[in-house]
Amino acid sequence: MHLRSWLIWVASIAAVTLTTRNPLYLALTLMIVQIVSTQVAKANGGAAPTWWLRFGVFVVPISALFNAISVHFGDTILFTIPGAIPLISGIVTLEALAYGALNGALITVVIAVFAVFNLAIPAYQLVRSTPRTFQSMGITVGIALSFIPQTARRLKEVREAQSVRGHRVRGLRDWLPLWLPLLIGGLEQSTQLSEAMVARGFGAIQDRTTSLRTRALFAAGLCLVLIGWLIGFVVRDIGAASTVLMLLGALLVFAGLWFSGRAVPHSVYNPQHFTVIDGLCAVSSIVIAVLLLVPNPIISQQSLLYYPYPHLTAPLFDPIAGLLMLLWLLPLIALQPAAHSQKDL
Amino acid sequence: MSVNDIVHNRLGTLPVIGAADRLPSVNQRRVLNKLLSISIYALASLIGLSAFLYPFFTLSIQTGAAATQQMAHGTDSPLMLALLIGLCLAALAVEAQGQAMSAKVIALLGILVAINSALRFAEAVVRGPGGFSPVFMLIIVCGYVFGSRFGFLMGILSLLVSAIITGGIGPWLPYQMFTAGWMGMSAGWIAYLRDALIALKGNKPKSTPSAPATARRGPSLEIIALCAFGALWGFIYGAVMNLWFWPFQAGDPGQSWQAGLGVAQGLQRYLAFYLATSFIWDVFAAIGNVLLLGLFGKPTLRALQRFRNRFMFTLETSPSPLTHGQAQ
Repeated sequence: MHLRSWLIWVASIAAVTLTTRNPLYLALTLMIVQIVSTQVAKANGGAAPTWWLRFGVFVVPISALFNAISVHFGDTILFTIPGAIPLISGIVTLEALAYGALNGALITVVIAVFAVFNLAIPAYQLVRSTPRTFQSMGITVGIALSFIPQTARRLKEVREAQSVRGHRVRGLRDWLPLWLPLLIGGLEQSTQLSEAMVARGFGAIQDRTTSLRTRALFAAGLCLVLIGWLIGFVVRDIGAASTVLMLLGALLVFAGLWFSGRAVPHSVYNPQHFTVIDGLCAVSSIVIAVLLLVPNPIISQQSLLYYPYPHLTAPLFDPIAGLLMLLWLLPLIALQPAAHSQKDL
Repeated sequence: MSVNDIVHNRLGTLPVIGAADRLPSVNQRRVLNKLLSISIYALASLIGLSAFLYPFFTLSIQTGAAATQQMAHGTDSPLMLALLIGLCLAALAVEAQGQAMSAKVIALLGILVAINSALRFAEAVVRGPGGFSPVFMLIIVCGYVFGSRFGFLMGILSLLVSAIITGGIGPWLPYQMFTAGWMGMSAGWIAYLRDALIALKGNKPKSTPSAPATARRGPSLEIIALCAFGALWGFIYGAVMNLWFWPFQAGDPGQSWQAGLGVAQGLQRYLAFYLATSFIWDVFAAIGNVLLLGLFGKPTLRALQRFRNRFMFTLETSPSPLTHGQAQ
C-alpha cells in the first residue's frame, strides 16, 4: 500500500483513539490493528507480531492498580486501605480501577498502530517519499541511513585494530581510542562524499536558499497561529475566531511549504503509484475520522466521550460507529496481492 | 564583474552578475530575509513552547456538568497541539535547510547523523542506567562548533533517523525532534555568549561566533560550560518530553493533569509528578551527558574545529583598482 495511505490510516486511528476512552471502541480498534498487522507480517514473509498484546497485558493491570490505589474518587467503593499512608490510604473505587485500565488500553492501541506503520513501511520508502520541500533533509537522511552500516563496520575495524595494539574496553574512558578514529574517519568520508556530490553537479542548477515569498508566508502564518492561540487562551468566548485564525495561519504555512517544494526539480526512479485501493483506504480513513470526531447528524460523539467517574456506567456503543470503524480493515485488500505475489515468487 | 558583485556567505562565494546595479535592493532583500528568518525562528519556537506548556495554560476548574464535559474533551486540545508542533517543526526545518545546506553541509550532517544514530541503535540494544544516552553529546558539540542552525538540524535529524532504524516512529517523535533541535540550537548560543564575555573583557574575539577560537585556556572553560549545559539539558529534555503524555496519564490527583487547571496548580501537580516519576531517571541522563562531555568533549571539539577550519572557510576578496578595472 502507498505510504500516504498508510500515513492517513495511522493518523485516523490515532486521532480517534486519543479522543475516546470507550472500552468497546478501544477493543474493536485493537482487534482491527492486530488483524492488519498479521496481514502485513504475512506480506513481508514474517510471523504476526504480538508483542504489543503482551505490552497491553502488562500495562493495563499496572495502570489500573496504580490508579485505583492512588485516586480515591468514585461512588462504587471496593474496599478501604486503612492507616495514614500518603497517597495510598483511602477508598479504592471501581471507577478509579476502570479509568486506569482504560488509560493503559489507550496507550496500548496507540503503540500498536504505530508499530504496524513501522512494520509496513521500509526505511527506503520513507526516504524516497520525502516531500520536495524537504529535499535537502531527505538527502541527508538518505546519506545517514546508507552510512549507518558503514559506520558500524568502521567501528568494528577500529576496535579490531586497537585490540591488536592491546587496547581493551574496561570503562567509559576506554571508548575514546575507538570514538576518535570513528569520528575523524567519518569527517574525512564526508569530505569525499561532498566532493563526489559537487562533481556530479549537486547544487549546480538551482539556488536552494528559501525564497522571500516562502519566508513571508511562514512568518505570516506562524504569526496568525500564535495570535489565534493567544486569543483562544485569553478570551474563551470567541473560540471560533481563534480556531479560524489558527486554521488560516496553518494554511499560510502549508502554502509556504508548497511554494518552496515547487521550486525544487524532482524526479523519482520507479515511482510507487497511488492505486484506486490506496485512494479508497485513504478516503475511508478520512471519512471515519471526520464522522467520529466532528459533530454531525449521522453519528453521535456521545458514545466516544466515555468517562467512568463519578459512577461507573456501561459504555454506549453506536453500531454505525462500530461498522464505520471496520472500514479501517480496508488495507487488507491492498495487502492481499503482495502476499500472493510473494508466494508466487 | 566587480568585486562588489561578489556575495559572500559562510560556506562559499556566489558570483552574482550585475548585482552592483541593484545593490540597494539586494541589501534590502538581505535585511528583510534576515528579519523574516529571525521571526520564523522566534515564532515557531514560541508556538512550540506554548504547545509543550499547554497543560499549564488552562483556566480555573469549573464545576458540575461543565466540568465533566470539559474533562471529557480534555484530550482534544493536546491532539490539536501535536499537529501544531508538527507544523512549526516543518516551517523551522525548511528555514534551517534553506540557509545552511550546501553539498559540504549535507555530507557532513549525513555522516554525523549516521554516527549518532548508530550510537542510539547501540543504546537500544544495550541500555544504559536510567536516562543515560550517548546521542546528546554530539548534538551539543556540533551545535557549539558549527552554529545554531547546524545544531538544530543535527538534533532533529539524529532523532528522526534513529527512530527510523529502531522502529521508534510514533506520536512522541515530533516532540523528541523539536526538543533535540532546541538542544542543538541553544548549544550554538554558548559560542555567542563566550565571545560576548571575551569582548566584555576587552579582548578581541579570535573568530566569529560560528567559528569559535581555540584559545589556550579556552577549551577547559569551554568543556566546563558544555558540561553544565549538558547537565541542564539532561533535566530539561526529560521534563519537556513528559509533557506530551502527561495529560493522558492517570494517577494520583495531586500529580495528574486535569482540564481546567490553573497555571500555579498545574505547575505544582507537574512538579510532584516529575519528582515522583522522572527525576531519578533524568539524574542519570544529566550525569551521562556530563561524563561524556567531560571525557570525550575536548578531543571531539578539537576534531570538529580542525575540520571546520579546513573546510568551512569563507573567501574574502579585498577590492583592488586593478581587479575592479578588469571587471568593468
